[in-house]
Amino acid sequence: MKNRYVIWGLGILTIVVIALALWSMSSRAYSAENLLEASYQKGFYNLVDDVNTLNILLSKSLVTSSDSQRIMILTSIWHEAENARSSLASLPLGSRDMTNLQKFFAQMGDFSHSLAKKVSLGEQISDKEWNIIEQFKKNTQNLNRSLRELQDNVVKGRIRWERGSFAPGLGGRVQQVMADRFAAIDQRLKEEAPTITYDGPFSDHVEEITPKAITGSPIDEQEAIEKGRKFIDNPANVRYDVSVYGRTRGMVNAYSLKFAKPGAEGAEIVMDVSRQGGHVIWFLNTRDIGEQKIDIETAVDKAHKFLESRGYRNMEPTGSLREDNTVTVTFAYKQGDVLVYPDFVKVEVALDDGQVVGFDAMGYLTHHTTRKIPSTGISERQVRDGLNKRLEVRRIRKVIIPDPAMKERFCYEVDANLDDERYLIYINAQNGREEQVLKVVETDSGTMTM
Amino acid sequence: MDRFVIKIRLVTALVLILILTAGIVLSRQDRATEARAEAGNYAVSVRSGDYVLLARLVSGEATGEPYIGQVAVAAVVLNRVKSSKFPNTVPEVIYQPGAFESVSNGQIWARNPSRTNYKAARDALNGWDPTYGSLFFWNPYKRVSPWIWTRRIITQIGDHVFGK
Repeated sequence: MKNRYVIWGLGILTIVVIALALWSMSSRAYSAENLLEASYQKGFYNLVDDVNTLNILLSKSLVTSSDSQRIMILTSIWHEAENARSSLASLPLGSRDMTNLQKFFAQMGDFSHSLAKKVSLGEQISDKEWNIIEQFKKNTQNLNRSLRELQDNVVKGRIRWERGSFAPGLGGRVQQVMADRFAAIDQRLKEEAPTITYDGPFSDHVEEITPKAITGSPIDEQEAIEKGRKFIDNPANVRYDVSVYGRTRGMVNAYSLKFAKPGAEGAEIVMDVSRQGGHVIWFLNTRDIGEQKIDIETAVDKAHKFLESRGYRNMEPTGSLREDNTVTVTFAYKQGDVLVYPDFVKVEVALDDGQVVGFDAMGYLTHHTTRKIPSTGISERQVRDGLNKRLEVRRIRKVIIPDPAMKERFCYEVDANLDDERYLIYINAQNGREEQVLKVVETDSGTMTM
Repeated sequence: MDRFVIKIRLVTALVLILILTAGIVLSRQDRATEARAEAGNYAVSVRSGDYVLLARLVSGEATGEPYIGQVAVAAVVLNRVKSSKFPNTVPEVIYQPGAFESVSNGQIWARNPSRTNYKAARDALNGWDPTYGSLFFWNPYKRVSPWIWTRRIITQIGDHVFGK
């Protein structure tokens, strides 16, 4: 009979253990869900706050008549718009199209930043630009109102982000309400928000760029294969089987080619060739690379010769980055005595035998054209005299640099040291303004600028 | 008496199974934290944070894809960082709730990125973009939200379609 108690005892123990396990799982899930809800709510409250602040700042920017005050306000708008982007990104809306809201804040911030820069240089804000600010203000007011309505419901506990499957009494009926409301706000903004062009990276003209150097008449698949065959670096004369495996549409229309070794399964080389003109946009050789046998200098030289033989003339190496047993060398086009940074090509060389195993000309093909370079407004002497006296200058040369708005700036590049640290300083060659300062970081693998 | 012994054995077996299951679950959790710690050390000593995170996403989203398909996934993340339509930093883009399946289902933490994943992340960071500015990618053979098909398709690499 004693044994019977043992059975009962074990049976009850088992049930207790299972019950405990279930209880701890569900209470864990419940608290995790609440934690998540809290973090979403925080993001939401922040967003409502950010939009409210933006609304006030935009009004103030229209009212003030002092330039210094205006710069402060415009800069604050930029910061606050960036905050709004962060808050928005923390909300669980990722599986929906919420790109219009993000873009709205991004452009508002970016535009204000460009205006602040303008005012700080003593320029006037035009009527057209004021109209855009007015439009932003109107959109922000509407947005503010919609968000406040939503907040009202949230405060009263009617809406939650999370499904609340473990929450007592809420069940599934409130799920996804918030996300739906946001999707509606996002759609409305798409219809209301203006298309704007200005000096900044998020301007609409930047997002619709077409490559300048992809020219020529359209070619067919066979011609693309021929162009590709001739372009690759093939010292061992491998007779690859080349075929077109895909097509690319969009900013560039291209054929995607693959090169397989005879009898081998997968592709060893992949390449994109533009339909228009048959330019090789990039290629990559995926072969295994052995131990290093050649030095970096030889590799740079090989890359240079490769470019020349493929029709890229007047290219100058501007930097290299070593990774495993390859080195990637960046070249920029040189027009006369001016180095044109936007027209760059990257060439990857294997350090075991010096073969070119990678090539990317997208930068060059996007920007390259023969430029009308204006004469300089200031001399090298004047640049030198205007520099910070503590700098030790190593070299000054003429360059063209890209700016974030895809416009180009003609500058003097001053390569200089401050104590042990190296900097590149860009002085506008026409008006002497300092456009940019880059810090050069030299590592074992190569040189980087930040 | 025999029946009684069988009953005892049954109950003991049940308890044992319970303990075993608990043990397996716990040890799996341990292993996961170990892997994370390992990756953490790697991150601090050798790689910058964004780079490791990007490689992790590549491993979570594009393992089994051809090499350019892996570069392409990393390139989409970087295109989002550059775009006005998405947040401004690599972690914000990757951890945007619901943006990437491998973050939602934990695949991003399931294993350490391979050498190839790292190389793909690096090639993308160096500026190579086989997707020509794509902001989205999806697997056309799986269930996806219908609005994704309103995107302009730019190219297909391996099992992923890339679009804007």
